[in-house]
Amino acid sequence: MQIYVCVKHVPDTAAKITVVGGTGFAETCKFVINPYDEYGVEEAVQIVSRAGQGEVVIVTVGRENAVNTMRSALALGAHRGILVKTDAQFLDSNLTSQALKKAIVQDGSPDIIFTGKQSIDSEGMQTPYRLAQALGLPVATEVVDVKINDRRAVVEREIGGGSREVVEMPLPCVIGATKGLNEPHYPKLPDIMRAKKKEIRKIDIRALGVDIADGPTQILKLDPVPERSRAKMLQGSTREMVEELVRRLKEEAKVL
Amino acid sequence: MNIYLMIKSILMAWAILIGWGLFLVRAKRLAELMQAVTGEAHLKLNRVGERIKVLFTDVLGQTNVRRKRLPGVAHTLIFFGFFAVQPHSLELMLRGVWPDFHVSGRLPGLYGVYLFAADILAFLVLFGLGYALCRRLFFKPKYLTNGLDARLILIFIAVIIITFHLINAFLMLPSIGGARFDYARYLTVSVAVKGIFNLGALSTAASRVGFEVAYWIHMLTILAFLAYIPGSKHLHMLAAIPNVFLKPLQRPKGMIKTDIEDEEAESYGLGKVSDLNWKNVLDLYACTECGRCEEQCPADLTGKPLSPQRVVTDIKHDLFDQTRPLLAKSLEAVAPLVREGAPLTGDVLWACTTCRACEDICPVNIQHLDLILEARKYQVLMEANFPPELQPTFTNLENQSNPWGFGSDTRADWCQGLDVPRMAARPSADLLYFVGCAGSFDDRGKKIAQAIARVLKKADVNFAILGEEERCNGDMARRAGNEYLAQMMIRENVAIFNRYRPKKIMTACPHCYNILKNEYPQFGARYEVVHHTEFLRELFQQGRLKASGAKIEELTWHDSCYLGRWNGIFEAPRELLRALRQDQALIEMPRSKSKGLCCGAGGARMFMEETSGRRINHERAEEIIATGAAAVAAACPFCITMLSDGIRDHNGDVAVRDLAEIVDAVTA
Repeated sequence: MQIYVCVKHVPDTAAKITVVGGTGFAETCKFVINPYDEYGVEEAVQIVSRAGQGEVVIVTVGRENAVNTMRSALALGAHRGILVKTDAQFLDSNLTSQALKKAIVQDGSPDIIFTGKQSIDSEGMQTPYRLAQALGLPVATEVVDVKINDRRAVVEREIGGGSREVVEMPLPCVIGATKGLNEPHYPKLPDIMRAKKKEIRKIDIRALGVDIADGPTQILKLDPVPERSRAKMLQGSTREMVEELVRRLKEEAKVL
Repeated sequence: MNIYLMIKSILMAWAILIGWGLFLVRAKRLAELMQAVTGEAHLKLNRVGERIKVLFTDVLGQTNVRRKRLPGVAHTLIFFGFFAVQPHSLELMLRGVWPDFHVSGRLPGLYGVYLFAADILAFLVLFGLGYALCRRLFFKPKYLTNGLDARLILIFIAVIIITFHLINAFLMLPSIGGARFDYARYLTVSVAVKGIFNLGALSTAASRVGFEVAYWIHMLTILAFLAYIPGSKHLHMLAAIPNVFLKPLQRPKGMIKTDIEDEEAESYGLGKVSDLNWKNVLDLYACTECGRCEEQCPADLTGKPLSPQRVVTDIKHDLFDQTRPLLAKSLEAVAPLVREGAPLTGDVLWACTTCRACEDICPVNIQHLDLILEARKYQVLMEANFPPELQPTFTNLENQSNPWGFGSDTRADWCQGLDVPRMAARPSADLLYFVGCAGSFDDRGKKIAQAIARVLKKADVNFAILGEEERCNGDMARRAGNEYLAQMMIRENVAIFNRYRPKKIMTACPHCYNILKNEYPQFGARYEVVHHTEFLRELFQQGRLKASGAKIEELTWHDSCYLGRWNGIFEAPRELLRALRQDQALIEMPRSKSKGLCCGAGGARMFMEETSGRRINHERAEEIIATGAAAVAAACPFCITMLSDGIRDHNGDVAVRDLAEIVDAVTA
């Protein structure tokens, strides 16, 4: 079983994003493995470990420092990695999926390709579909259960409202993982140490023949989400709090 | 008669050979096990003079044992009496082989004084034994091991002492003791024994038979006891003395640093008995199974599966079970400590709050936490086996350097509007206030941090904080066994400290305090570290803080483990509180100072579920409420949270206040 897992290097949700130069941000903040991709890594590692043979390859499109995130994925049990190097954190999902496709096809023949259902930074939710389209493979995303039998994948996917859809696809296929698929395990120290020595092959995105100037979408402007006005907690006895509330509604909010 | 003496001589020679032989073979096995384990003992043999003094106070003086009054007195009586009879028994043993062997001839006066003392001391053993027996038959404290081993030892000693007196009573008969030495002149108790049984009226033959029976029972019991010692809890007779000699001479101690960068290392922490170091093994041998650690343990007290005593005995038994592969040096065949069917389970290891009450109370200075914390390390680093609720905590620490996962850039938000300078802007500050995660992010903790900032300003202290640069101190991860994660954060803080080289660091959290003071030096950051209890007391004594005259309610003080037991800061907060309350005494809880009960949060328990047994903070809350105090003061944000929760759950009407908040409220 040859499994490729597409992993994105993204800023942690708790990190403070400081916009720099209008379309970029300070990359000094903490970066993590895209959580949805992590479910994919865990599932791939479990499938290969159950099968007793096979290989899990991490494929990342990103900047040089994405290597750190790839090492975390390798610590979970993936075997090696391929980094397609880019110049910017944001890359159009069309170009990303082309780069992923070329890197994967150049490397070997996949039985399964895992991606996350979306990345938590650009939240495009398109890469799994575009990648499957580029490779001419079936695809299911928001997947919470995967069973592989006789070169067929039976997956359950969340379709909203608490309902699930069961989809059967022939291998090879693309699976977009989401929360609920598994609980990624905590890596053991020897695995972290081993991951530091695992092979990560680096390819420049241009060397794959992807024209980065050719993206159909581009970022015009990056703005921080305006902070919501802070809730105010009133303190004191019930009477004091009510009086204070009435005063504020009158004087500050001017609704009374 | 001569034939009997010849046979006796041969039998006694054999008995001595077998008794001592068995003892030496078994003792050698124990020594071999100490050499077979592969862990590195982080022990420096320093201050030898002081250590010799400790042998006089702790071993000969029995002071440590008598910290528990009656059992301690009983032990002291048994200890002195048992050893007092041994020279005499040895002499008689050798006389069994060589009938003419007498030591009385050279210095009869000294010999007589010795016999006089031994006779009385031996008799006193019976009182000690009586009390020990009552504890096992009637009082039966839960923590006291009460098996066959313990009873057998009491019987052994009782038989040795009773026959000692009988032998001496017979020796006073001229037909037995001969005329070489006037026993009756020096013996007192044995004279009474002779009188009670009217031994003087016995025929020569009957007294000879009586003497020989007493003699053989005495000698064989001693030799059997000797052979029995190495496998029993009485091994402490051999191991306790070196263990006490090697005890930590000071209270503060750092956790063992594991070299996680070591590429040669195949394992980290304590995974199986072969990972122990020789000092750990000596600790195991030294255990007397007195149960004092269990009696003090907050986990055991509240019905958790952990008892520090059982941890020690379980590991000791596992060590003995693994003797064969250990001595054969086939370490891969040594079974893991935590395994299917083994008594030591993850539940046991994770129940520990690392409050250190066990180590503190141990009369033979066993370092229980060296075992528990190293075993946790192995479970986390090598097996990724830990309570599942710790995983998000670890991830939060890794990503945002605080256990809750707040953005690390919001670390200094607590001091908005307070005009607190950063070290970056004031690198010459006299004091670096290391705020810590609780002070930075926890709502209750933030109020304490704000109180501290206000107090420092009132006292005109030239201080600064690291602000967004500060990282979690690593204590929580380290105590939770995640040495890798802990070292990541420690190294970041160390680099920041070494960049600013602060003159003095103050923390308002005993956990920050302990690790910065006692463990950061392992990583190359050696700075003066003070806890706010000490620093605020100093400000007050220097007159830099002035009492405003505001009243403080009746208070009780909760000792935090990492302030008190780990670092010996018991008096600073008490002194300050007394001074602030015009010398009115504090209400002390029954469990205070070195016996203070843990709040339940230490050892990363703050971030674990407490599902088995009663809650530790409830136990403490009940004690606090029972004092009738209007408020309880503490100096640890985790204690404050645990106590507040416990008191609220009991609908108690006791305010929970940090020392800094009190100081802030009553100073101008």
